[in-house]
Amino acid sequence: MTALVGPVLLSMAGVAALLFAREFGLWSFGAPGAGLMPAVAGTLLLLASLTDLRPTKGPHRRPAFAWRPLSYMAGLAALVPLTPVIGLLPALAVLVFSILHFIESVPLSRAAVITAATVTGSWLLFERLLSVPLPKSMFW
Amino acid sequence: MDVLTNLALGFGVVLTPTNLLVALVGCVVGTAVGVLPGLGPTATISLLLPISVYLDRTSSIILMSGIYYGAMYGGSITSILIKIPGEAASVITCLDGYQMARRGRAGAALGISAFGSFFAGIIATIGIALLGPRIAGVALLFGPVEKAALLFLGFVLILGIGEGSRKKGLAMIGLGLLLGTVGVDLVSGEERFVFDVTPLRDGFGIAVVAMGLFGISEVLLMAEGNDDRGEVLNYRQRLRDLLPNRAESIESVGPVMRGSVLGFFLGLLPGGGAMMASFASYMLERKISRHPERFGKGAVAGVAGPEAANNAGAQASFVPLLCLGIPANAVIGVIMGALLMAGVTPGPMLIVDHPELFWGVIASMFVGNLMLVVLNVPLVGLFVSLLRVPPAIMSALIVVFCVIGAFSLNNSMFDVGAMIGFGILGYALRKAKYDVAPLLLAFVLGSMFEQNLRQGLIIGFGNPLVFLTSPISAGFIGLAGIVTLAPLLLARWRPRELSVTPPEASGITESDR
Repeated sequence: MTALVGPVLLSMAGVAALLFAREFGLWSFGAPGAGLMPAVAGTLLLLASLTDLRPTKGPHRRPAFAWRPLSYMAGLAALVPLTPVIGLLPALAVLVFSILHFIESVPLSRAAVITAATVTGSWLLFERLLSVPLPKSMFW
Repeated sequence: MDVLTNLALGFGVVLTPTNLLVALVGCVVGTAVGVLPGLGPTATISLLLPISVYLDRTSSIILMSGIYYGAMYGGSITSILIKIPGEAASVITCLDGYQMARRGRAGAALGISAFGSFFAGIIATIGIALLGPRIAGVALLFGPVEKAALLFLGFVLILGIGEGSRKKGLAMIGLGLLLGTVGVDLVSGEERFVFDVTPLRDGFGIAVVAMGLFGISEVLLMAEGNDDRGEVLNYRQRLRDLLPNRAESIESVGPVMRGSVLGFFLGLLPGGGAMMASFASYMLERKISRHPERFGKGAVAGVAGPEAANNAGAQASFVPLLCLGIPANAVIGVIMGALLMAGVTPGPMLIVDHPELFWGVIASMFVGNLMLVVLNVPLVGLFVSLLRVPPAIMSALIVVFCVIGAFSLNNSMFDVGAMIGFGILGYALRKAKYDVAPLLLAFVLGSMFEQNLRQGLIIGFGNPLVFLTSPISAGFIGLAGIVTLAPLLLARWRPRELSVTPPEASGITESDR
């Protein structure tokens, strides 16, 4: 059943692309319109995914719950709203420390040292050497 | 004579302190990522895209090409010593390289691999220097109709490089083309899939997509904790112990030469490259060997041929990019992204408009291969020690590099969010057995294909048959048809004969070590 999720979602994306392509126009003023390429892409996506829709053979196994990748994703997703509040480098420090200590069970002191080294190195490389204006906190 | 003059120009470009340093860094980083399972050259070059904009464009391509062929050298180290290919193109080396190591010939296997790769690299570089300008000269005759047909052929060949099924590969090409249409249509000015989000008007950046699909998704896969690093076999690090004996040297000469030539020509094909070259060379050597029963048990030819072929293939795959503007594989696709970001359009005009870049990159391959053989022989132990870096620390470093790198492209947190989104998408697709390489290549080539397709249709007054009236275009489309149908027909006629399976699939498991 889980093997069908990918093809179904991609088929839906293909259908959506075809609907939008129609709206953009396949042909306008005697020339190909802005909808031509989305139509080509949507058709490929839809046909390839539909032909890939088949139930899996053999005994069905429920996939193991992958909490670690999900924790990483949650941390990465939290990074974007956290950045304007505390700044990019502090937000990255929180993320790296959380990954190392809470998800990967690296001892506290070691996680702190690695986080400090990573963030300091990034600051030196990007902000000092390459002059990238990394986002600062709205408060300081 | 022209070639020598141009090569002199290239050496003039590369033999500067900056470019020599850049080539050295590329070779060292490439060997390191080749050693580390998981983090391949595509992900590494993607991570370096934001940094590349700070380098001179020739230097950035020298850096990236050094990483690519450096990874070919590095991948063989772990294949031989741990039976874990650090890089896909080194999968086949596990079969005989590891068996040689078990018989106490690890040093010789590493030496044969390094010297074979060096020889193949030099052969491939000479081949590129001789053939590249001629291919570019022919490609100058192409108009939009021919270019659209060539890109169509490229998409068909890209289907062959996917790790998953062709249906899944086709779906990924569709998704890549679709993502490439996001933003303002350059012909009509109409907004496509923008949904009033201002940063989307410019579409997604190649670096953002590549870092997400290959960098962040790799971190998420590593987070699953399936670390498959094994124990390193003992070997001696003295230079004398890395040299093959007389019998092994004689036995490796033929396979290295055949592998170099075969790898070069397979690398020229869009969709070809290092992995296909190494597998084809192994099949060839086993087929023509007087002792095919030795293959899989430590045959010298099983190491020498594929190792030469994968390096020749990796270098030859620059030809379709530099001469036709078509990336042969995902790594070259990312390098194409770097060229586009630097304002250089790869293709037949590159050799005319930017000769210093074309010949500089070729000359850097000579220098890079020399650096690699010098580095690899004495520094094997150092590279192997990289396997002791815990994956958790690598994950944290990749995340930081991706996030700051994505931000630095346009100083925009939108790019960071988009990259994280592409990372999660890439992870989901890879978990569902979709290969994301065709997605990236279709994304990179999509806008070029659309532009030429639309121009071609305008030239033909809307009649799609215009693509069959040009002989060159018809030839490309005919070739695409043959490439599509040939595997199906071959599979029907000769169902089992030509298959070589990777070690995992051929029953070689961890317990065999």
